[in-house]
Amino acid sequence: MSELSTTSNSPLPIKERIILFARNNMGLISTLISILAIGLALLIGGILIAIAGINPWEAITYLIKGSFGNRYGFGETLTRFVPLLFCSLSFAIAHKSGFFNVGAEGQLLMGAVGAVLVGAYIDGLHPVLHVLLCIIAGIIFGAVWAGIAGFLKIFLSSDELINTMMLNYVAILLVDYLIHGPIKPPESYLYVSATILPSAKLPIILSKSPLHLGFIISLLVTAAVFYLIYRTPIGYQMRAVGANRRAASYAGINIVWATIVALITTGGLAGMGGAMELMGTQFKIVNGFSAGYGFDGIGVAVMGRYNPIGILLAALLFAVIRVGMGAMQRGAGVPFPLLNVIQGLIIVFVIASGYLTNKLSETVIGGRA
Amino acid sequence: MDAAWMTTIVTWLTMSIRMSIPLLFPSLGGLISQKAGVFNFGLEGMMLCGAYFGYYGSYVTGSPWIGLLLGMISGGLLGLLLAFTSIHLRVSQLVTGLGIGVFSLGITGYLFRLIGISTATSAATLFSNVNFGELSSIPIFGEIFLSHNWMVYAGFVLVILIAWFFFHTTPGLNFRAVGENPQVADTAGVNVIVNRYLAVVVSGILASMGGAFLTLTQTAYFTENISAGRGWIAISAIVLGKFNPWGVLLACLLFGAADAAQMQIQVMNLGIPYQFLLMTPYILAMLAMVGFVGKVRSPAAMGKPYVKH
Repeated sequence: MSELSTTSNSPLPIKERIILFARNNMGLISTLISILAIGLALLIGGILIAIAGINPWEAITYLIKGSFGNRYGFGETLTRFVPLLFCSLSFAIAHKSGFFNVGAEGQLLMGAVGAVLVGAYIDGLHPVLHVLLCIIAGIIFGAVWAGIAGFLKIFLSSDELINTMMLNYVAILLVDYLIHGPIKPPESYLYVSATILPSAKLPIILSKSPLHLGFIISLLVTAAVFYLIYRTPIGYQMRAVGANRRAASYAGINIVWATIVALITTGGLAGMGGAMELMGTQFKIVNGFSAGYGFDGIGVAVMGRYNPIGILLAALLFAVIRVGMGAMQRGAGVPFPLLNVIQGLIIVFVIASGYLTNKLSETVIGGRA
Repeated sequence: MDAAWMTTIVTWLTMSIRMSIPLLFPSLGGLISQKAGVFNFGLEGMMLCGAYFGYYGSYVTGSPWIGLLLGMISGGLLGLLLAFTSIHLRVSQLVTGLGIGVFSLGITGYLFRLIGISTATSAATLFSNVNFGELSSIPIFGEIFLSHNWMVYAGFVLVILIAWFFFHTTPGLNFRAVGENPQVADTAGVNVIVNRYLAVVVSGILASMGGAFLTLTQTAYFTENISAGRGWIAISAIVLGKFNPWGVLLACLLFGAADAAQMQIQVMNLGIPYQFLLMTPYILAMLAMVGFVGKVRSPAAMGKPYVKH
C-alpha cells in the first residue's frame, strides 16, 4: 500500500494546472472572452430597450423569431450574411496587407453600379454568362474605386484611411446623382436605377425564402481569399508588407505590386458584395442601397479576429442581429439604430478584450498571442 | 463691381467663417490628442453625440448653455473611453475610434427616434449673435466679422490659447514631448499617462462642441448623421495645417470657404447637379492629404502606446 503514496504521479499544484490548461486552450479562451464581450454589448442593448419602456424579453422574442424562427426569416438572415461577409473579407485582407480600407461602403455601392450597368443594359446573353459579366463588372468598379485611394497612397504617399472614408461620401453622392438622371428609367417617377434583366438575377436556392445563389458563392470566395493570403507566394508577400513594410522591402519584396494586388482584392471583394446584393436581393439601386454594410464589415472582421472561421461566425451573428432588429422594430417598436449601438459596442468591447488575451498569453507563454 | 456681386462676396466671406467653426473645434481637438501621441479617430462620433445631446438639452430646458454642457459631457465621456482603451489597454486606436463612430451613430439615432418629436414643434433654442452695438453696422467689416454667435469667437480665441500653450509654456512643451518621445519625457519627470488622458478627454470635449455648434447655432434641429463626415475632414485639416494651431485655423477657413462657396452656387442654380457641389468638401479633404503643401512631419510617437520600462 505504501507504494501508492509515492510522489511520482501526484497532481501538479493548482496554479500550474491552470496555466497548463490555458496554454493548451488559448483559442477557446479568446473565443470565450469574445462571447463575453458580445454578451455585454447585448446586455447594454437590453437596458436601452428597457429604458424605452419596452419589455426586453418580448423584444428578444421578436429578434429570435424574425431572424431564424421561420423559413423566410432564416433565408433573409443568410441573405444579409452575404454582403456582410464580402465587406468583412475586404477589410480583413486589406488589414493583413497593411492597407486600412474603411471604404467598403463606397466600393460596394460602386460595385452595384457596375453590375446594374451590365445587368440592365446588355440584353440577349445566356444567364450564366450575364451573371458572370455582372460580377466581373462589380469587381472592376469596386477595385477602381479602392484604386483611387491606392494610387494616392502608392504614388503620393497620402494616407488611405481618410481617403477611403472620403470616397464613401463621394460614392454615396455620385450614386444619388446617377439615380436622379443617368441610370434612372425615363418612365419612373421614383429616384431609382433601372432594374436588371431576369437573365442577370441570381437564382433562389431555398424556396419560399429570399435566399439566393450568392450565399454559396460567398462561401467559395471566402475559401479562395484565405487560400490566396495563406497558401500563395503573393499572399505571403502581402502579409509580409502588412507585418513590416521596411523588412519586406529589405527582403526584396515588390511592395508596389503586393499593394496593388491587395487593393484589387479589397476593392474587388466589396464591389462583388455590391453586385451580389443587387443581383440576388434588390435588383435595382435605390437611395440607401447599402445600409451600412461596409462599416458593419469592419466590425465583423474585428470580431472574427481576421480568421476565416471567426469571420464566418461573426458575419452570421451580425446578420442575425440585423434581421432581428428589423423584426423588433416592426413588432415591438424598438428604433432600428439600436443595431449600430450594439455593433459599435461589440467593436469596442472585442478590441478592448484583446488586452485580456494578450495579458493572458504573456503570463502563460511569455509572449503576445 | 456691381452691388449684387458685392453682396454675394460679403455673404460668402461671412458664411466661410461660420462654416469653418464646426471643423475648427474637432480639428483643434484632434490636434491636441495627436500632439500628445494618441490618434483620435472617434472625432466623428464625438461630434454626433455633441450635436444630439446639445440639441436635446436645449430643446428640453430651453437653454442652449445646458445643451452645450450636456453635449460636452457626452464628448468627454467618449474621450475617456478612447483614452482608457488606447492608453491603458493599448489596443488599436483606429478600431476603437471606428467603434465609437458606429456606436454614436446608433445611440443618437436611437434616442432621437425614441423621443419621436416631430420637427415642426421641436426646435432647440439657439445661441443668439453677439451684440456689438453700433460697430456691427460698419459696412462690410461689420457683416463679415461682427455678425456671429459667441462660439465663433471662442473658436478663434482657442487657436490663440492653444498656440500660446504649445509654444510658450513649460506644460505645453512637456505636453508635446509626450507625443514626440514619451521615454525621455518620462525620465524628465513628465507624467505621460496623465498628459495623454487629459489630451484625449479635452479632444472629445472639443469635438462635441463642434457638433453642438451645428445644432445650437445653425439648424436648431437634429438629423441622423448630421455631422456628415466633418470629424474625418478635421483629421485632414490637421495634416493640411501641418500640426500647427495657426495652420489648422487656415485649413479650416479654406474648407469653410469651399463649403460656403458650394452652398452659394447651389442657391444660384447654375445647373450643376447639387450632388457634385456637395462632394467638394470631401474631395478637397482628399487633395489636402496628398500633401501638395510639402512634406508634413507628424509627432514621432503618434499612435504608439506607451509602455513604461
